[in-house]
Amino acid sequence: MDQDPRAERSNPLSATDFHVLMVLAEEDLYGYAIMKAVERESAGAVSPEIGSLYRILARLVSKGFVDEADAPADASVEHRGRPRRYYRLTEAGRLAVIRESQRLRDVLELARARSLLPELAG
Amino acid sequence: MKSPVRLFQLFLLLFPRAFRDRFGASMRETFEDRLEESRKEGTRAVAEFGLRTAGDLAREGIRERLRPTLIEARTSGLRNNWMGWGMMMGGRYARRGGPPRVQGGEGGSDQGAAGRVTPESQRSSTSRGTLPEGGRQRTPAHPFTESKSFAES
Repeated sequence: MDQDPRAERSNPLSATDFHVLMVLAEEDLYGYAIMKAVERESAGAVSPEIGSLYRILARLVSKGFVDEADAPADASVEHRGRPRRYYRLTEAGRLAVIRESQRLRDVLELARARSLLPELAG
Repeated sequence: MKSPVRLFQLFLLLFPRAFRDRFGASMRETFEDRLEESRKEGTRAVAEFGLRTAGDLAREGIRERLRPTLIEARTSGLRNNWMGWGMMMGGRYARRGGPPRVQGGEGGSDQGAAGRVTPESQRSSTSRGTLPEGGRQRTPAHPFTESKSFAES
């Protein structure tokens, strides 16, 4: 939160951070669901283990991109008798995903202009 | 189910306390979910999952201790940098001729009798021109004594 916003703007997100934020942009999720969604959406290219995932979540929480949330009304709240912990994307997180998506789009444009993606040339 | 979870909780101890307090329960929940999933795939899958998770927790736990990711853990990060802190305080005392001696001090308050400097240490410091005219000096507070996460850990 107290990080220099200019630094945030200039630092691209890591692939895993980006995928975690992307899945949370769809809906609030709990740890295991985040893991599975990241695996699925990245076609298995990004597959964080438990320790890595929670360090990423901790970093995103400390940057103000992700926050802990109450379970959605339609979700099964209990897990072995305990309430599940959900995570949600904050407004700052949404802006970070948008910024990163725009950066990736620019990279894609560049790759296309240099004929590195012939299937997309057109 | 019990023993793998116990083993997992042992590995969790590799993470700093502030991190465990915040994410420990959620990590355990995720571990139980993944364990259940790999049990459906057979013994080999469970073994692979166990090895992968143990390696990951050990690596990430140590990383987290060396470079905390939580804002609340920033003080722990400074604390982990004990060598830098030691050098800083060493240099400070070397310039002053040692830490000031304090009589009847309770937390180094600037008021009343607390935190008063003895004549001996006063002479030693004033001769180097480091004390204000009043001759009183506050004991430098330890930078982490007021930090909750430090006190807890």
